[in-house]
Amino acid sequence: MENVEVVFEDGEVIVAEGDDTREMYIIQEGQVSVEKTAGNTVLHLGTLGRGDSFGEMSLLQNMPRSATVRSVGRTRLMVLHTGGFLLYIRRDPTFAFELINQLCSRLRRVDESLVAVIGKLGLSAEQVKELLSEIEIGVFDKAIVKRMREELEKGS
Amino acid sequence: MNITVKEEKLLVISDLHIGCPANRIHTNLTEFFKFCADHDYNLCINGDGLDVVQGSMSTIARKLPDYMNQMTRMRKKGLKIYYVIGNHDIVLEHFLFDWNLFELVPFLNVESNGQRIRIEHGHLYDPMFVNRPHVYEALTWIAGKILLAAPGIYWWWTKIENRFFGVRDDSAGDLSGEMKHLLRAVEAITRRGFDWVIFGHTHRAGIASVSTGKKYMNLGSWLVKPYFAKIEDGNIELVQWEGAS
Repeated sequence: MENVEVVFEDGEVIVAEGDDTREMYIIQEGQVSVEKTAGNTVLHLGTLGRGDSFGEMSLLQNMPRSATVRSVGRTRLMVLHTGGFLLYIRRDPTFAFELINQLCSRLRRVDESLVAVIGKLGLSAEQVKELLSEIEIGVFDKAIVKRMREELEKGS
Repeated sequence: MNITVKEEKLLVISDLHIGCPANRIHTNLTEFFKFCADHDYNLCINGDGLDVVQGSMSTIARKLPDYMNQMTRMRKKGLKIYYVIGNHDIVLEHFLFDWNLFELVPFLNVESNGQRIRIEHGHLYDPMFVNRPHVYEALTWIAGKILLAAPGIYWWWTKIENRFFGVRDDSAGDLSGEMKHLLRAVEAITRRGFDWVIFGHTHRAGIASVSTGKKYMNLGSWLVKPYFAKIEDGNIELVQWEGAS
């Protein structure tokens, strides 16, 4: 299975937050901007460039897109689907290492940000535990409700 | 572990096989490390630097002090030494880590003035190493015993390969006849936005273009001829080491 290459023009949405698409992308040329909605605000999470990848969370977890990714200028991308992903790793195993390395860095950054925010708010350990469990339940609920709605729609 | 680095002045060497009985590069290599230290080049040893698989610790121990002196000078000047793990280094990883000289990496992604360069030993794409590890290990062990008994046999072997199989020419060439699995890997890696891929492992130096329009360089081995890659402000060259002058 060959991996497809696609081109996006400036400002085009490549993946939209909440979408059900499952492809993963590797940037061959150009840049993309990553945005996430938090309440009424759109947060700019960062800009990715040549060699970076995105969309792996949806591909690996079979979950809706967690952020919107938009092309900045003309962008050429390589598209990986679930089956092609494993085949690609077999041909280029270092890609798996890079991906895990990237996910670890992201996790470390999230942990550090969380600790910084908790420190700034001056929350107690008990309050943090409560807050985290509320957030976890909230996120999880949203995903379950969405999937149930989809299954009901398919069934009807 | 940082596998992505920005480098404007980096030299890359591969397959030194220090400790291998067929190794005749002691003076050359000491001079090369001295050159790096004197001219402020960061260095990347792209795998198979040491060789206990086909050599001995006592041979390594005899040669190391000179290399260590120069590499310690480099570190004192704030220069970096990356060490990419090759197939002969796997058993030595802890030993290399304890030296506190190297940044040990499985591969290195270098950004130099807009150029993206992958540096990797290449053994992961050798079908014999990956698919028949026990056979590979056994053959390596047997070859090691033969080399210990008669080191000169390595030169006879390279001449036979060159003459009859056109495999291991000691001059840098266009890498025609390179293992197709390695070329396939180069193509896959360059599709991810790399401009160059630098391997070692095959002991055959040269430069080739691949179907993606990008470049593949193999550094050969210092057992055969001392080549190195010079990466400076995004320019990449394959150079033969002919001393510091």
